[in-house]
Amino acid sequence: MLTTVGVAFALLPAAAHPLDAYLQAAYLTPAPGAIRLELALSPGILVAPAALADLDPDGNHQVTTAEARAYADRIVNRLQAHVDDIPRPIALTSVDVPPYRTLQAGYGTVRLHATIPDAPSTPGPHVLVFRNNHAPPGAAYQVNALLTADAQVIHQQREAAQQQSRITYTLGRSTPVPCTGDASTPMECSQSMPSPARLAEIVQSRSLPPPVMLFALALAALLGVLHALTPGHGKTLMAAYLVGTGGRLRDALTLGAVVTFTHTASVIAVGLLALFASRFLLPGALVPTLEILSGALVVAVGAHMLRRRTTPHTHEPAVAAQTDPHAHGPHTAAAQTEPHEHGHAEQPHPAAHSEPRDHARANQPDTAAHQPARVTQRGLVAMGVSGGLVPCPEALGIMVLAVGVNRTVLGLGLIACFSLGVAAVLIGLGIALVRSRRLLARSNRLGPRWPARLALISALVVTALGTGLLVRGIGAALQ
Amino acid sequence: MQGQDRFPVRRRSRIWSSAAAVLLLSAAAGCGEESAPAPPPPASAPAPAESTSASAPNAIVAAATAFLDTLSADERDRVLFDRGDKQQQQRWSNLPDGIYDRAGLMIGDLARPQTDAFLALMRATLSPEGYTRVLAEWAADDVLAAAEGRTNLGTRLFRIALIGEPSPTEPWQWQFGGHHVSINATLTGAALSLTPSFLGAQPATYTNDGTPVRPLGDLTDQAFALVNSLDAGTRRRAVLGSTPIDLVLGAGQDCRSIAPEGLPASAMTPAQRAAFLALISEYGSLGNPRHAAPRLAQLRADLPGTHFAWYGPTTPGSAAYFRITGPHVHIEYSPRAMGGDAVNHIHGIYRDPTNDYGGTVC
Repeated sequence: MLTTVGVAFALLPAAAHPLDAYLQAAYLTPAPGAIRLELALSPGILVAPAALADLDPDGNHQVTTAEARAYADRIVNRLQAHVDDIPRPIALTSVDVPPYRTLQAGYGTVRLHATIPDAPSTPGPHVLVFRNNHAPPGAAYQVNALLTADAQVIHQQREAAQQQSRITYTLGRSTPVPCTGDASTPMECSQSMPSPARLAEIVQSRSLPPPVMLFALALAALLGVLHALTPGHGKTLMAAYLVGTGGRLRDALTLGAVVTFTHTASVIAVGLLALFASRFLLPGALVPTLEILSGALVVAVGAHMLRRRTTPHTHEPAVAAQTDPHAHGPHTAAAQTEPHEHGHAEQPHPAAHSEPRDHARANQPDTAAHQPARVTQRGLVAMGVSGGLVPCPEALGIMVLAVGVNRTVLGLGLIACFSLGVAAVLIGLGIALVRSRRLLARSNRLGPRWPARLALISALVVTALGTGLLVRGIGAALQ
Repeated sequence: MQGQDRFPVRRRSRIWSSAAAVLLLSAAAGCGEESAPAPPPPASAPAPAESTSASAPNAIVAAATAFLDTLSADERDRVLFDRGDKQQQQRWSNLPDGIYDRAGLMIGDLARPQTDAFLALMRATLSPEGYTRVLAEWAADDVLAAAEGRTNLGTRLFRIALIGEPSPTEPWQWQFGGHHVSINATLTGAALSLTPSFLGAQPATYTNDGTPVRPLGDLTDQAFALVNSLDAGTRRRAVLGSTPIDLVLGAGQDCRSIAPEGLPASAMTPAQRAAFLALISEYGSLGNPRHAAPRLAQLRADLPGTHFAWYGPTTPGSAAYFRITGPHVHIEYSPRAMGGDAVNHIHGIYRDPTNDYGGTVC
């Protein structure tokens, strides 16, 4: 009976009279690894006796630590948290109880502090669904996400009674940059720094005039540019690979394009998976898996480059072919003979003509074996894929939000523009690298052996970075 | 809806300051017989416009020092707390006396010249409009005490505390508060922070000699006008629920901020944005003009990213909650139904998530 009354009250939370309302205000703080939860319980004067009977079962008007703890435990057991669709335990940390008379007067607030220790720490969007099933007579609910520097709250959705809330947040380095200026049109923020928060705000708008839509797309592209300039995106890998393999202009373009394509595809795929297929997989395992895959790819490429640098297989092609796990296809076999060919057997294009001169100079008999491992189509794709495989939190957040507010097409458009921005930076960087390498080669200040040394260093850098990615992915997967 | 233009018109502020002082006087007199003497604010106080327009940071320090000079050694001990005493800095609440234990000097224990000296400090710190508003909110507690015959309510039960000796360079804070209104003024050199402050009132409408007084009426009216100026699409974004909610970051919720929700100013029309800025500026101009100028400029610059959220009906005169969240501001206005009309019982909070207590606590 009491439960029925409680449920009835719960259906009309804020309409309930505060004197007979039992307000339960939850504050949730998403953060990597653990989500903090505070539940402030304020029983009004008419429902305070029931709350006190629960809090002080022996009725001696003294709430002991043990009584407070037991009461708090009972309530925590009625709370539910799902992160990324996985139920997560909630652990009570502490409980603050005001003086008995304050509670009795209907002015007291009992505060429960708890954590959800088993929360994801992988960068990217996560969804926390919190539900409070503690339904004493007069129960009224409020729930709010608190902000921290570690997490960005993208969207908060509550049912009318606020007994349940769905909080979409992203973990990562992005921090919202507030719009500034006092222009008088909706475009005023174009003068300020673009930010994921600003983009999210546009996506959430219900009606978008075409100029705002165009502005949003341009903003997405600009965000992509800025985003690509932050650490990550395999830029170091790309640089090391291009330098170490003597990549050409065309290779730089290909690499940038592959990274962009993979990046866009992975954002869309992971975003859609997270949204629609999350029940069939473990979202917490998805990003680490991609990281492991990406790391393994990079390590493979790095190992390949290293082997080429350290094994004098060019003089003994048969032995090399036997020891090289990749040497089964005709493509790799061709690559192995490349140092002698001074050109790319598969890609006879004009850019290749400039290469032989560079190599001819360094191609002394004793260094022949230490020529840079030439760019191969497979290597390029592997590098590009690994650089773009792990979706970035910013793009994913926009995607999830766009779908969440039924603006999937706009979301896809924004992601495409975002990726174009990323591509512009990566391709530009690739071109700059290729050009500067050639300049360096012509100036020849580093001596005749530099290409070989650089190639070896590059191979080591690629392998080390790949190993780092792998370790990170495995670490995240084991959490 | 009389009195709805009380606060926005600055040139009338002096009249209203005086009116509020008179009102406080009569309200206190009306219920003070059975309780301890409650020295009311002086009707003969210097007009606030003159004193604040010339106020320099040192004017506030001077006013504080003058107030301390009216106290006995024992009273000084009770009103002064160590600089950096965070516990005292955060010891304020909207709850009535007896339910919440405040510290400091009680107004009811002060002699008239001492209260006058404290009010001079308040006038030096606040704008004429802000001072009038605080006094009108404060006076409401006497009206409530008289109406309900309660002894744990009333203007005499409000407390004063100074955390840190007044200093032109070191941070110090004056704190004034009781049931439904608390002002925390933190001064660091020339910088003034008036957050967090609790701006509530019960009753939210009362009369003084036939004159209606609505301490927060201008805010209520402006907020209703704004929400009703929104078209269906933007209103759907602003209105998050059909019933008013409690304060999210009220007393005891320091050092935290919530994600902005509702309608951002960037999605409003120029006219709506101007109305929104006017509403925010009512809070921003709590401080005296010299200190309020940079604060108002900051709130204006933040406007595009500042959000407006609403819970409750949008019919003017109904009980509705609103919230304003921006990079440097958090405002909530929450009607509470506690044995009466929720429209007549208002809780409100004014915060700056980046600069509450002048950045000395969080």
